Formats: sequence, C-alpha cells, structure tokens
Amino acid sequence: MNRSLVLARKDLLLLFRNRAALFFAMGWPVLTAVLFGFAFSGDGETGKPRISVADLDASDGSRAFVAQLKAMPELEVDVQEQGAATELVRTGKRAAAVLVPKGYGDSARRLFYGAPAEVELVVDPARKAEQAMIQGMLQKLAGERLASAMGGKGRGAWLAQARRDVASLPEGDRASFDGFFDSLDAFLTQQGEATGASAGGGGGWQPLVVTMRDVEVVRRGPRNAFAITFPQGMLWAIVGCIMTFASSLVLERMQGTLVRLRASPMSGPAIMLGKSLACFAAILGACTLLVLLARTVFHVEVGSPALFVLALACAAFAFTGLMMLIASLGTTVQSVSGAGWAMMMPLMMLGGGMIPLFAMPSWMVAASDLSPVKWALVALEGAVWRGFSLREMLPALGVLVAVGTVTFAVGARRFASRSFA
Amino acid sequence: MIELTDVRKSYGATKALDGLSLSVARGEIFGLLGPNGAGKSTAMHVLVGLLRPDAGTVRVLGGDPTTAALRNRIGIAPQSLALYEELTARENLAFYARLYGLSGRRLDDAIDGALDFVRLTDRQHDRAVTYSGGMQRRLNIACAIVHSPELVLLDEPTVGVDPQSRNAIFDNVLALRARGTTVLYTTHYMEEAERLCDRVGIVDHGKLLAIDTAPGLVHAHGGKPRLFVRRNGSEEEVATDDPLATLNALAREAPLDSFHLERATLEQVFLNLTGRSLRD
Repeated sequence: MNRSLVLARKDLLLLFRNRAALFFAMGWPVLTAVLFGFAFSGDGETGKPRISVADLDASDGSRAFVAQLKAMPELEVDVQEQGAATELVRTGKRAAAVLVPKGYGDSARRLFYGAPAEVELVVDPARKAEQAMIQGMLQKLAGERLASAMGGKGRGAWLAQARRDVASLPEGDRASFDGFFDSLDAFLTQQGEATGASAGGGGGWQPLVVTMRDVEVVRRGPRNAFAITFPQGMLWAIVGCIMTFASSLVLERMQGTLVRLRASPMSGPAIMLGKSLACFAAILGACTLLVLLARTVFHVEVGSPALFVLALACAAFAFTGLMMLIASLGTTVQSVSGAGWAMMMPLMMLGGGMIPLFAMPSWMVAASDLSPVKWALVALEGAVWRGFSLREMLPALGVLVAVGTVTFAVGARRFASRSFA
Repeated sequence: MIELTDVRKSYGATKALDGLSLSVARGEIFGLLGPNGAGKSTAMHVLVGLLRPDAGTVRVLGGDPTTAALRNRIGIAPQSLALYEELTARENLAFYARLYGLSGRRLDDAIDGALDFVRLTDRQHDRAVTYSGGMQRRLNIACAIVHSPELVLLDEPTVGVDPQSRNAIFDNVLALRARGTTVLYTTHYMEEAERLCDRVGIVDHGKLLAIDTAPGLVHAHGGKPRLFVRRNGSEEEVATDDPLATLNALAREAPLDSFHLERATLEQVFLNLTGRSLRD
C-alpha cells in the first residue's frame, strides 16, 4: 500500500506538470459549467424575488393592497390560492408567499385604532436575504398607502370615515378622537404633503404588521442554472481525469518505466492500485474545486454535503474502474486515447453530460439508464439540489459501485495479461 | 550470484531463450554479447523475475527473483530510457528510491550519492526532458543504483549516446565493480564487451554459443592471428600462432618491404560462430 501511495503521489505530480491534462481535468469543466450556466439562466432570469400572494379577504382594501404589491418593480408577484401559494414556497419555486387574511381591509382602513392591519409572510427560512427584502417591501408599501391616505383628497375621505367609525363611542372617547382628528388634519394641512415615512415613523407604531411563518422546504428543482451545469462540469472533469490516467498507464508501458516498476519490489496489483488511487484522488480534487467554485462564486448550495461526498466517492470509484478498462483497450497512447473518447463521448451524450436529463425526450431518458454518466449525475444532483435522502440515492450509488467493480476487474485483468505476462 | 540452467522461453513459435545456461560470480562484470533479437533482453527480464521461463531454473542472489525481498537487492536500467521526463533528476531518483523503501535521511543520502556517481549533481533540479541523450542515459543508470543493489543489470546502456557520455558510462560501470557490485551488461558493441567485461557470453537465437574472457574467446574461436607481408610489389597472408617467429622466418627467405599483423576480435569470433556479423 505504501508503494502504491508513492506511485499515486508521483502520478499526481506529473498531472500538475502536464498543462494539457490539467486543462481537461479543470479548465474545460469550469468553462462548460460557467458558459452553459450563463446560457441556461439567460431567459426569464430577472433577478427579482418571485413571490405569490393569496387574498383571503377579498375586500376593496385587500384588492388594492394586492394590486399595489403586483405593481412593485422590485418584486415578481403572482396571485394564487392560499394552499397553492404555500406549496410554491415549500417546493422552492417562490421565495415567499404573502397571505392577506380576512379582515385586512377593515384593519387597514382604521389605521390608528382597533387591531392593526396584518399580513402573513410564508417564507423559506434558508432564503434570509430575500426574506428581509420582501419584508421591507411590504412595509414600504404600507407606508406609501398611509401617505396616500393622509394626503390630498384621500385625507378628507379617510377622516370622514374615521369620524363615522367613532361616532358610536361614548361621548368622552369620541371627543378625544375628534380632537385628535382635528389636530391631525390641521398638522397635515400645515405640513403640506405629508410623507409615509413621517406618518409611520413614530414610537414603534407600524402601519402593517407582518407575521412570519417558516415552511419546511422540499426542493425539487435547482436553485439556479449553475446547480445543473456544475454537476455536468464535474462529469467532464471526471472524464478528463480518467483519460489522462488511462493514457499514463499505457505510457508507462511504452516508455519502459513499467519494466522498472515491475522489477522493483512492487507487485503488479500494487502498480494498478497506485494508478487507480491517483486517478481517484485527482477526480476527488477536481470535483471538490469545482463545487467550491460553484458555491462561492455562483451561489450553488449543496443540499447535503455528506451525501455529496458519498456520491462523489462512488462516482470516482466507478470511473476509476472505467479508466482501467480504457487503459486495457489498446497498446499505444493513441489507440487508448481514441478508444477512450469513442467510449466516453456517447456515454456523456446519452447520460446527460451534454444535455441536462430533464431536457431530454422520454425515450432518451430511458436509454440514459445504460450510461454510468447518468447515475453519477443523478447522485451528484441528488445531493446538490434534488433533495435526495440516502434511500433515494442508493439505486444510483449501487449502479456506480457495480460499474466500478466490474470495469475495474475486467480492465485490470486485461491490462495485466498484456503487461505482466 | 546468477545461475541460469537450461532456461527456455518462447513467444508463440519464436524461441527467445533456447536452453540458456550460465553462471555469474559475485563482483564480476559479465557481458552478454549478441545482435538485436538474440535474446539478451529476454534473459535480463527472466533474471529480474519480469518473465517466467517456460522451462529451466533461475537463481539470483541465491533465491527466486520474483520475490519482493530479492528484488530489493537488484537494480535494472532498461534499454529504453525508463525516466519520467517531466520530473527532475532528483524527483526521478526520489521516486524510485521510495519504491525500495528508502525515506528520510537515508533517502537524501542515496539520492546525493547516485547523482554524484553519474555526475549530475549540478543539473539535479532540471527536468529530465531538458537533458541530452547521454545525460538521460546516465540518469537511467543512477535510477538503477540509487538503492545500492548488489546486482545491477544494464541493458544496452550506451545506445545512442555520444563518445564522451559513453566513456562516462564506462567509468560508472567500472566504478560499480570497484564497489563490489556485480554487473550484467548486455551490448551488441564488441568494443564495450572487450573493454569492460571480465567474461563475455556470446548469444544468438536464444542460445549461449560461447563463454569466456574476451581474450579466451578470441583465442578459442577467433582463429590464428594473420600476418600480412609485402615484398617485390606483392602481398602475402600467413595465419600463425607465433607471429614473431613466422615474421623472422619470412624475413630470412627474402627482404620484406612492409608487414602488419591482424589479431581476431569478438566480431570475428561472432562471425566464426554464427556465420554472420554482430550488426546484421
């Protein structure tokens, strides 16, 4: 094992010294992930938080509130039934849902007395930044509504309605309110156009109470296009690594270093183990760098880091086996390289390495089961954005382990018969 | 040190080794001389356990060369340059030395010693790809001896190198013998075998045709030295075991204008044994 590690270390050093191999293991995957990520996110990507609103009050006031909410340029708003709005948040398709409860219209109209106007904001707790922004937008909207009510003709109508509302109160209370309304009217007249901010800025009083409710989000879709393209990029990195190491294994035989390795105390299986360890480590390293880049620059959240590690390890195992099989397909670097690409390109095309699985026609999705690329993508995506449980991921992991075991056994046997006979 | 007894190895219908038997003593430089395809490299691969013979027995350093423990005591410089060109000389040596279990201070000392031995210390941090052919050959030898083996197998170590590097390699081989290392040296250059080897085995078609010291082979298989004399405008050739006595006798018969003597070489030995040249 120690000698295998020495061999693996040497191979990794050689990989770092080989610019072309490094490009195919790292540069090309990043390029494809980034370029396709931008391409896929070009249409319909507004950058605005998408929210749903459900009007349970159906009053003039609530309808006006919904209309004003929809008119806000900072938000993308659609109107839904209460259940549908909540479900959209739960499935990660909306940043939040605003539920306008029964009685909203009356509360909003009373403004300074009775229960305050209130809406419920159903949110995904993971989307803190959007949550704070939406909350601010709702308060801004309430402030604007207050400013509108307090200014010009609106103020007269509002004061008249308010005086009618308090007419039935006991004499002392009614007089107090009337005095307040008179003072308010005089003050606002003197100040000219009052602003929503001044009206709503006093001592903790709010024109709108926003009640927060978290929902447990079940993600079934990617957060953004990069969540799709980076797992695809990882597959390109994996292919780049296995082609490099398959070629290097044959190169050892061609340049005579395999003779020296075999004449050392190292056994044939230890040599193949060392090569495989190097390939496995290179795949892990390249994919880890890709996922770090995706996370830090492109805001791709890995739903389950633990499952991601498991998926990556199984994918690396499967493709290390394929590396050994490819290395056994020829006697020269050229023949192995040709055979390797001839094998891997159809597997990549069929398995979703080029066209995302969800964009494939149904017959192609069915056929993609034959490609280990598909199972690697399913496992990686399952950990990144599909929200897989371990149980859901097990079939893909099982296929990958089986592919790795069979291809390694066949490849090692074939390579050994050619090299160690 | 090395005992091969009736070793046979075939690739299909081709007999690479056809009953090869030889023994090499400790501290000896033994040369296997033969043309390309004679079976020299196959014999070498059998000796380090890379190939299993179809028949016969192979004993190296008193044991089976396929065992890891025994391979620790053998070094090989294959005919092709078994180097990683993108690694420096020091990195190449470190890699091979680690395969033989060296680490820490012992590793550093072994690398320094090997670099010094082949006179590459000043280029140790340059990548092998930047070396001349001769320097790469010397590095190839350094990789074979970095773990201080008791037996070193050098397979055609001077192929494609300039005369200066060839002389440097000769010095290295002689230095190995001075250290007490046993060297098995394959070549198809008779001058190398004559200059370096304590004994030479001549192989062709996988068979050992003759084995002895270079002078012994010449004496046994090269034929008599030939004396060429010129007098009265004509040249005579006389084969003789005693050139001086023959020359005196010829001079007494009639005055000589000139003469020269040609002694047999290993080339002649090979020609006499096989009917063809070493370079055929």
